[in-house]
Amino acid sequence: MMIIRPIERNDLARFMALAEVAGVGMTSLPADEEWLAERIDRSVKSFAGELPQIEQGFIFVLEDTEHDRIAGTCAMEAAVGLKTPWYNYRIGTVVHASEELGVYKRHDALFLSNDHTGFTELCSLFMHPDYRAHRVGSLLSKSRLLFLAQFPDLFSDIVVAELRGVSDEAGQSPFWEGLGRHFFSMDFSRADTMTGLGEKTFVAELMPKHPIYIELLPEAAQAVIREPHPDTKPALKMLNAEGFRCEGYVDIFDGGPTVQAYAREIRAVRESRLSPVRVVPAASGEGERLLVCNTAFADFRVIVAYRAPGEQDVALSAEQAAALGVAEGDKVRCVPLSPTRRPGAE
Amino acid sequence: MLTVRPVRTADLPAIERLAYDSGIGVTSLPADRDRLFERIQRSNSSFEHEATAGAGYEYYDFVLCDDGVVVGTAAVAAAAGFDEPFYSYRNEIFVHASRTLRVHNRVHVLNLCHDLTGMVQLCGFYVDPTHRQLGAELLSRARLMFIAGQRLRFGKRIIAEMQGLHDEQGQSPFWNAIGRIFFDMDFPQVEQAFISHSKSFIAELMPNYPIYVPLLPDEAQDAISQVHPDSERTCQILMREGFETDEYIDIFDGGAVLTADIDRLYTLQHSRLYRVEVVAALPGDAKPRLMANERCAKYVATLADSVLAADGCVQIGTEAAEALGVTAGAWIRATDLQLG
Repeated sequence: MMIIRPIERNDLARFMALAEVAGVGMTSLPADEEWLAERIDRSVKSFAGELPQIEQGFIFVLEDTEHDRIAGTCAMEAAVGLKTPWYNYRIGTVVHASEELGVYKRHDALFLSNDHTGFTELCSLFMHPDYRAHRVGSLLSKSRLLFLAQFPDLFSDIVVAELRGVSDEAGQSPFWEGLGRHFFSMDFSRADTMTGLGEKTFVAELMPKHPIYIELLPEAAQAVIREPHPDTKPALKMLNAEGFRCEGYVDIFDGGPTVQAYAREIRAVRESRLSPVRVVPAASGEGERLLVCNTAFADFRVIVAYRAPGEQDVALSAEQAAALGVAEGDKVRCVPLSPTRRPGAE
Repeated sequence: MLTVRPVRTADLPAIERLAYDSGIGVTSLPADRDRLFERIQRSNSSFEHEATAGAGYEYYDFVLCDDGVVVGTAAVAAAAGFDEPFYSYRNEIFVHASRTLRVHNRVHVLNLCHDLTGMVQLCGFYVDPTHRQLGAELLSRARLMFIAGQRLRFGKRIIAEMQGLHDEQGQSPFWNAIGRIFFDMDFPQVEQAFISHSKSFIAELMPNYPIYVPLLPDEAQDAISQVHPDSERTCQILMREGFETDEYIDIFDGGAVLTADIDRLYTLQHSRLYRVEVVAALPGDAKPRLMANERCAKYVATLADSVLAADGCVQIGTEAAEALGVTAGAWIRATDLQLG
């Protein structure tokens, strides 16, 4: 069975193995054992309620109990930018017009911003390649949204997610080559690694403080602004379907899009319901696919179950109920895994 | 004989011809008869009236004559940007340093500014190609001799905009990288707009934020603070005077804007007043010098042989005395040729 649960201290070795598969470009999952151990420690303490909100970070793992493997991971930062600054570029519009000369020009410029300070961030989503074919990526990613739905007070009103921008196989990012390189005197992978490790103060020290006119950048750099890396497109599509939108914020290194949504308006949050559990001899493999979580905090668990049309409660096998740590009649939170297309909806 | 004198209304056709010849890039010499006429009137009035530094309106226009024929023109504006905003880019260096990373980057930035407003401005310089050597030096420095003689009419700092790089089709690499994006027009078009419209369009269309130079294409970066080959000589004359480059550049073509303290210029420091002795035949050790009378509306400067005598007198020939409109016993200002 596939179960999503908070990471534990003894997951370190398997977590490290996962990070090694992730490689460059996955800045938030560097293969650095000491760093990963600290992250795990922070997550464990967050789930134990031992940290103030500005330090809380929750890491989840997707466990394949059948094969005793960690198939993937994802995380949530309760509030970014409250200890060290959080940077984005905001794409802003500047209009210059001369009535006398009949000239009207609209320019887009990149404004270095800390606008997302204090927002909740979805981050560090990574699936082991062996599991990508199983559609478990969206299960993993959306499990966080159930956690958000269950514990809204722990998080900010707005949730953001940074998506990896365009880079080639050699790790070259056209956006970085056109902009950041001039200010950082280092290559993209090093800068990217450093931010992944949380060393972000150097960003403030080295980034241009004034807005950058996009038209003054090389065309190759202009072309990738707001563009996700091809590998990230499915993730973007999934987030879009949940209601996340790019509101003109992009990553300062690779120009990739940052998407955002009001927590209460996210589909999986809005449509999730608490329903009673009914334990059945054998779980159905048919009907609507549901994400189901328990209502525990430190022992939070998510699984996938099926619900037959018309049913109000959630039928779980004994094994599923045990995985969630629930019994007959307990309430679980559930939401259809995918948005249902209503007639007339876009 | 080469002489420099204030422009007259009758010079208009000659000035207009020079303006056409000067072509693109010399925005302070527009090929527009009405504008030129207006300037001549303004110049006449400036030479004729009393003025003190800071008043600003004055515009002194001079012509270079070869045996009476106008072959060049140059002007001094008492205050750049007196009636319209005067824009330049200030070359700035931002240091982006990180101790943890051991990175210390100096980033070159262009910042739009009005810093040069109110400074004395050398402008409208053009000489016929036949007089690029001696004529150019006389014409250019005659303005500084005039300033030396009429020091109270001028302030402390002086500037001169040099024509920047552009090709024969009028394409400027600096303009193409920045200006074209913001103005939506070619370099020749903006030159025309600059002449025929108030400068408010610059405020309306220019980028408000600093321009990071490393982001510009190489050919645009290479054009920053450069001088068009046609203006090299002009630039050289002023550099010898002590003008400096690099702090400011032209907002259109990125050409160098030269700046200096007036009192530290070579001509101001080294020109002296001498009492005139007119001699029929100059001795063999006579040297060519720049000389100017100390008048205002009847100002004349010339390049002629002379001898500096030990008693503070200068010996000049009758032709030079006639050209300068002086007789024996008058005071004239003289200085050495710089480039020759």
